[in-house]
Amino acid sequence: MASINLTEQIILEMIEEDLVTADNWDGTDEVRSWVADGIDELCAFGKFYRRLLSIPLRGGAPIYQFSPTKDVVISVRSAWLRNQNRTLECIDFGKLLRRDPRWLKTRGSPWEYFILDFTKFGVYPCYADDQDIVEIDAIMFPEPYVSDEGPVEVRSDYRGALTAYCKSMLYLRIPGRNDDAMNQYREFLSLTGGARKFVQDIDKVRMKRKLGIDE
Amino acid sequence: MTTVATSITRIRRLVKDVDSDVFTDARLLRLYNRSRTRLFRETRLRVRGAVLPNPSVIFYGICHRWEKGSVSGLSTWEPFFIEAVNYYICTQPWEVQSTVGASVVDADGGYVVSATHDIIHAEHQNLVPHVLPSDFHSLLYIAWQDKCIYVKLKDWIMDYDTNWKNKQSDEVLFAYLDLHPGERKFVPFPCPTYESTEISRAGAIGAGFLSYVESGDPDDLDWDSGSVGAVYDITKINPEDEGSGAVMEVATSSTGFTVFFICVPEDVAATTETDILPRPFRKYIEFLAASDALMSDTDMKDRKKAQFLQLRYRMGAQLISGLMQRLRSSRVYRLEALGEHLYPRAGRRRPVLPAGYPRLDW
Repeated sequence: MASINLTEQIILEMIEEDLVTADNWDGTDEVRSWVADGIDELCAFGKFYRRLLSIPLRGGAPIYQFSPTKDVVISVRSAWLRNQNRTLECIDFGKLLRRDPRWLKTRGSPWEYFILDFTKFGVYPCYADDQDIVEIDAIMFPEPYVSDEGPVEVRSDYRGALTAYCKSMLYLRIPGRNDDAMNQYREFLSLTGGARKFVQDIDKVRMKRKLGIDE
Repeated sequence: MTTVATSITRIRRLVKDVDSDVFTDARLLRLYNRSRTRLFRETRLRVRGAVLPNPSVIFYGICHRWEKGSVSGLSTWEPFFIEAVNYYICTQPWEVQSTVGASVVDADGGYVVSATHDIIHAEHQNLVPHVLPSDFHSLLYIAWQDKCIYVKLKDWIMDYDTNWKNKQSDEVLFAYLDLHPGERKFVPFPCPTYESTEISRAGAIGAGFLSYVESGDPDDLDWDSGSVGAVYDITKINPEDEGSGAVMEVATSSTGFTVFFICVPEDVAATTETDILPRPFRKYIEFLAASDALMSDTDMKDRKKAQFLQLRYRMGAQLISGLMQRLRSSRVYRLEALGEHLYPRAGRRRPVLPAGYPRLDW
């Protein structure tokens, strides 16, 4: 697995720029920030970064929050009640309100969970006192990279997409390379797959440019 | 946690103005805030819970319309109710005292007071508007003493009970929203009984304007802590001290209103502040802000790049909305019997779990 340093070097070599003498950007910090963005975008499209979160349930507390600086949950695959050995089912918050308008007062062993936003979730019903642990199998964004030698946790078949994304952002910084930036981003979308609509949108931008009145 | 200054630097890189030759930090911060508000509104990505207290004392104040930020030049004054928090301006007791003189009860149970040059009308004392937090955008749920309140139109409540203005009870059933521009209030019905005695309740009808004299304990509530949402927010734990996966609980109240709502946070005031938006989504704000900057009439104007960045923002907003929708929607798993193509003999048919069912580890 390539380190983040190596990834940066590969990208800069591909656009034929030297990391040390490049004057179009602010050095490695900038390149690294685009690499981090690319990884986030890939995780949103590919949903391959998974973690298991263990959260103790407190009595009378139906709503919980993931630590907002570290864990941003994209999708929840399952929630497992450890001591009860069973799965919680996901329910829509609105549906829960219609079914039990007094859900805040209902107490018992939980059998459902609901998601409020990217950082908050709730269980229904909640326990009357502190007990049990819920294990959430979640698809997430990885934490930002701090080490130069940290491995880039991207699946090997998405490496090309990551490179294309970073090249797109770097071309945006070089004067007169907007077309290349769009091409690279289009390449990124086609490599990630499932984004045909967005590719068409990029074509629309290009057509607007060609047919503009003031051109 | 990164500050907004990091985002401003990244915007500068996108608009090729790293040395601040064209755009000042203040201008980019304004663009950042505008883009941020737009992202929060379009994607509805943040839900917040707040506990609003039922005030023990209610104050009645008088305020010019222009003092509330409305258009000036109106000759009438508008009285309104104020909870025991520092929300509206111009609530000095002397203002009230100066207008107390001749007050009469009108047909709706409200009060009409003749001041020197103005006639002032106050609503019935049971119509107490509760102010929603300042970052309120749209409502998901209101509960009174942990029991759900149904939000209805005001006309519906008037049809439901023609004597509704005179009702007080601890069992609040309905509420209607008052969401005019600049207003974020809801009015519960029946009016909940207050925790402590106050003169306006005990006094004779018609003495409404005297009720600014408190009889409850003013120390019940924190007077100097700003808006309602700031004081009675959910109990937070410092995320920097936490490991992964935990934890915050909503402190629901058995004596107040619990509200869940989509929130649009207030603007970031300075670049040294941290943004509550999750880090992976911050880049879309930067794209939109950079797009706006590139579309402005400066030496940096670049329409094509601006359109591309705007497209990137739109894609990001759609992505977030899609993820939110999938994250919030319920997944109901039912046992299904497979068809003939997998189990040709009828005797071997059996219910199986569907493909997306969560893992079973026992």
